[in-house]
Amino acid sequence: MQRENLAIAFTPADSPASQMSEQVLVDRIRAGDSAAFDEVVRRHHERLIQFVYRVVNDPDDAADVAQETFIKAHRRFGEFRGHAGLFTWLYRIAYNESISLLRRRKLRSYLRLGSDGTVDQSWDPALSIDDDPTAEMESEQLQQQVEAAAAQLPPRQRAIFSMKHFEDMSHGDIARVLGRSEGAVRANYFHAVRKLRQYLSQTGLLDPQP
Amino acid sequence: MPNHLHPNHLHDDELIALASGEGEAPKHLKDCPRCALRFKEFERTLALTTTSMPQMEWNPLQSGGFMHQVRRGIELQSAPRPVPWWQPALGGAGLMLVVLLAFQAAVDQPALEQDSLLASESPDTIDFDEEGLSRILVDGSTGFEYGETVLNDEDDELLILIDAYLIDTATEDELMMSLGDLTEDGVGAAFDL
Ligand SMILES: [Zn+2]
Repeated sequence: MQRENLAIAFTPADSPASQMSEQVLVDRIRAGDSAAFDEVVRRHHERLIQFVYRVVNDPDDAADVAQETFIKAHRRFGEFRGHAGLFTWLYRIAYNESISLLRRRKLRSYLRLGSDGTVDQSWDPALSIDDDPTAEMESEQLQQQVEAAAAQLPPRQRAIFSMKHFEDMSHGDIARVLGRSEGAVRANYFHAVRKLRQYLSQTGLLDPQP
Repeated sequence: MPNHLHPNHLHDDELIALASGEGEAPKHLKDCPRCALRFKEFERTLALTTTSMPQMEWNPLQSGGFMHQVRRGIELQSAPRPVPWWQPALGGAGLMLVVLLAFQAAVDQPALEQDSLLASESPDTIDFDEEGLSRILVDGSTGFEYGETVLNDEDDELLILIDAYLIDTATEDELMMSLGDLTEDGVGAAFDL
């Protein structure tokens, strides 16, 4: 999907919709009010983009997946039952879209590379760490190490970690997003943290501070 | 008794839960240097990953363009779409792909399982199975349900994949020849997420 820098007349940020509760917005969208849907996009897109970014590890893909999430949400709004919050529902679509993208990426690289099963991991930040000794920014290096550590995790564990720590979502909500049991979410979370500890420990980042 | 088999030592999962702010620290954590050290490591792991995890740079000025794209996508999807000339042919190619993959997945299931197990040590990250693969290939669904909603069932993911492949390469014959080479290892690698 091409991104365009167009200044377009959109529902203004201070429109009446900006004051509406989620329930009112949902009712309005059901009644066909496009300004109400614009408001949903406006409220949630930045957080959703960050979430997708942590799962797919690529800024362009993250924006595309987030766009596709809202487009799909609009198309399927009639299926939103309101059992959980709107944001949880959007996360669910975004997570499925992210996994779908990662599968396409893997299969595409597989088809390109032939049948030896080798998978293109060029997107993986763990493989692109710059160990240039002249790198000055210590915090930048730290970020890279942390990013590399996170890249070791399977996408689902990245998603769980992100929802738990960056979205403060309960295990129950995370389970609803992923379509898994709470027990499975907990097990995945513990596994993710153990892996992160192991990776960071190997890089010396967990050594006692002087 | 070796230290790591000490019956009172806290399990890693308990330590992670405590470091994540769940529950009250038991007395053993204060008394046992081994558990205290491990707890500190998990605590520091979480502190580092939550404070230093990179964020995607997003300028609020980009939001206008983003919302425009969403609006345009919504408008496009409500407009009738022309069917490209090659789609009927791809319907046949897609069916062949499903048949080929289903056959190959069926002939060597133990190797497939082994591949999946090697791919991940997490008990809950192995969710690749024949049924799931067929479902993905046949209707684009990942099988996830949300309440009464089944997501992704309108995605013809297979068509997208073949579409992408055709754009990058040449003829349908070449596509079918490549697909004939697919091994279950490759299929596992492609779908084991
Ligand atoms: Zn202990």
